[in-house]
Amino acid sequence: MPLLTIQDLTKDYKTGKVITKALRGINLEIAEGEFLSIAGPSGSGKTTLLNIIGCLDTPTSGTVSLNGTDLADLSNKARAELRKNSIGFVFQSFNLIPVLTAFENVEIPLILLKWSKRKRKETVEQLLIDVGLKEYIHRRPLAMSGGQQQRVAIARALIKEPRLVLADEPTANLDSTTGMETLELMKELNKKKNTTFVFSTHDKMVMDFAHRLILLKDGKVSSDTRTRNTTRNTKSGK
Amino acid sequence: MLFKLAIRNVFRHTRRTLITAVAIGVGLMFMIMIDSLFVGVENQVMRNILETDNSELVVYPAGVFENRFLFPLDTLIEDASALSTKLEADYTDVISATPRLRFAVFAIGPEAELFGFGMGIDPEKDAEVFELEKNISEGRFLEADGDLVMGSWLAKELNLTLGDYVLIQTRSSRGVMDVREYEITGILNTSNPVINANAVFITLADAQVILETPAAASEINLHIKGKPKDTENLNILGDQISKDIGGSYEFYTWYDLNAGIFEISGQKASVGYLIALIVIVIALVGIVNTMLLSIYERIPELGTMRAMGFSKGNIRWMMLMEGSVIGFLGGLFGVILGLGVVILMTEVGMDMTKLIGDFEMPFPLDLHYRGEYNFGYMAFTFFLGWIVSTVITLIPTRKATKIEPSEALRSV
Repeated sequence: MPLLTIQDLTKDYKTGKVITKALRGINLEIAEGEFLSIAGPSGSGKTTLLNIIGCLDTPTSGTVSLNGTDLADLSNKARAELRKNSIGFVFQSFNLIPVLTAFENVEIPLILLKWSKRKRKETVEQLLIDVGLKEYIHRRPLAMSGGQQQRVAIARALIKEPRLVLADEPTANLDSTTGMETLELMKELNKKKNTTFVFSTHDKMVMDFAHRLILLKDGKVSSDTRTRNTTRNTKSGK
Repeated sequence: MLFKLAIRNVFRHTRRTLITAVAIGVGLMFMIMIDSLFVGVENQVMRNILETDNSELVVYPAGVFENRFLFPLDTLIEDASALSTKLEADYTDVISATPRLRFAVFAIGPEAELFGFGMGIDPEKDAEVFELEKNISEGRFLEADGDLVMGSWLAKELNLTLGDYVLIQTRSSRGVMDVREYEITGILNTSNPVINANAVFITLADAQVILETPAAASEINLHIKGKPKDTENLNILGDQISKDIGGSYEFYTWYDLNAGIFEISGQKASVGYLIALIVIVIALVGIVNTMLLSIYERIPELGTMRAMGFSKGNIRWMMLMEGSVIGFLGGLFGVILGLGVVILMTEVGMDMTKLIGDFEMPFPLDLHYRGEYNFGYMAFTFFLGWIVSTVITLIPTRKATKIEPSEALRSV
C-alpha cells in the first residue's frame, strides 16, 4: 500500500468574491521511502499541495490518505496528533524558534511526544552531531549561518523519525554549495532511515537530485517522471 | 518547556515587557498608596477619638443619644461615680470607667467670644481611659477644682494664652445663667481638631456645681479590653451590661458615635479606589496591547509550532504564562513602588497644613496625614495584579489560537 494516496484533490481560495483555484484535481501515489520533488512555477499549487498533505490545510474536494487514513475524517486534534507523530516539516525560512538554542529547537518534538529527559538529551545530541552541528548545539539560530539553521530545521523534522518529511523550498534561502550539502544530508537520512521526503521547489538542483519529479502547472500534474538519479530507496515502489 | 518558552518570549523584548510591567506596577502602587492613606486616616481618626473624645464603649442615659450634641442636662446619669465603680468591679472586660459631663459653653475673652463645649472630668479616672494629659502643649493638666484647660485653636481664636483669664458662661440644669472666671492652667493641642477648636475642660466637681447637677454625668466612658475595631464584641458586652443593670441606660460603641465620620471617609475611599481601578484598567489595556503585538510579530512562529504538533491548548497555555510572567513582574513592581510610597507616607507623612493652613475640619483628624502599613493589602494587590493580568491575556490569546497553521506559514 502506498504511504500517500491523493485522489481528485482540489483546493479553492476565496478572496472577497474572487475564487482562486489553487489545485484542480490532483491524483498521486507516493510510496514509503521516496525522495520526491514537486516543481512548478509560482502559483502552480506546490505549497498548497504540501500543506494539505501535511494536515496544515484542508482540501475543497477529493481525498488524501496517509497510510490508509483519510485525512478528511480527522478532527483538528487528530490532525495535530498526526503532525506530532508522523510528519516532519522543513521550511524555506527554516522557521526555528529564535529564543531557543539548536538543541532546544530539535528537542521540542520529543517533548511533545513525552520522551524522558535523558533519552531526549542523548538522541538530540547524536542527531545534531550527525548533521554536523556538534559545535553549535547550544547556539541560538541568529548566531548561526543559513545552512546551519537549515540543518537544525532538518534535525528538528527528523528527530522523531517521522514516516514523511515535507520540505517547502528547503534550499531557496541557501547558496548553491550549502543547498547541495543540505540535499546530500537529506538524501543520506532518506537512505539510512527510509524516511519519505517530499519537496516543493523551483530549484533545478533539487529537481535533479530527486528520484521522482512531479511538475505542477495551474494546479494540475503536468508530468510525473523518474529522474536519472540513483534508484530510489523504496521497498514497495510505484 | 512551555514555561521556558514563555519566559524567553517575554524577555525577547525586554524594554517592552518592562514598560508594560511598570505600567501595571504604577496602577497597583496607586491602589496601595490610596489604601495606606485611607487606612492611615481611619486609624488616626479612631486613635484621636479614643484618646480624647469617646472610649470604646459609652454609657448614656436612655433617650438622649439623638440629642447628645445639644448637651441636654435634664436627663443625666445620676450618681455616675457609683455606677462607674460598679461597672469596673462587675465586668472583667471593663478596664476602667470614667464619667464625663458635657455642656454647652460660651467662652468670653477680652477681645473675642466663642461658642464651644465644656467637659467636666475626673482628672485621675479620666487619665485611665483617655490620653489628654500627654497632649498638653503649655501649662499643666487639670489638678484641682478651679483649673481650666482649653483647646489650643479655641485659645488662639479668643486671643488667650496660658495664665490669661476667661469667662465661662453656662446655663444650669434649672435654666439659671452662670458666668465664672477661670485662669487658663493648660493649653491642649491634640490631634483632634474638634477638641482643639471647641473644648474647655474643668473638673467634674466644678461642672456639677456650675450646672447644678450634683453627682451626675452625661456619659460614662468605658475602657474595654481587646481591639477597638472589634465592635461586635463591644456591642455584645454593651447588651449584656444593659440587660444586667436595667433599661435606663443605653450603650454605644465609639464607632456608632462617629458613624457619620466613617460614612464620609468610606465614600472618599470609594472614590479613591475607583481612581486606582481606572489606572489598573489602563495598565491592563497595556498588557493586552503588548500581548497582541507579541502575537502579530510571531504569527509564522506560532504556525510552525502548530505544524510541529503543538495543540491550541499548548499555545493558549504558553500565551497565558507569558501574560502571567508580565503580571507577576507588574505585581512585584507594584508592591516595591507601593512599599516605597507607603514608607514615605508613614514615616514622613503628608503635611497638608503647608498647603491649606490650619483649616478647621469637622473631623477628628489633623492635617498631617500619615499612611499605615497594610501588608495584607499589599499581598492582595500583588495577587490581584498577577491574576488579573493572566486572565486578561485570554483576550489576545484567542487571536493566537485562531491562527490556522497554513495561513500563519504563508505570512513568513
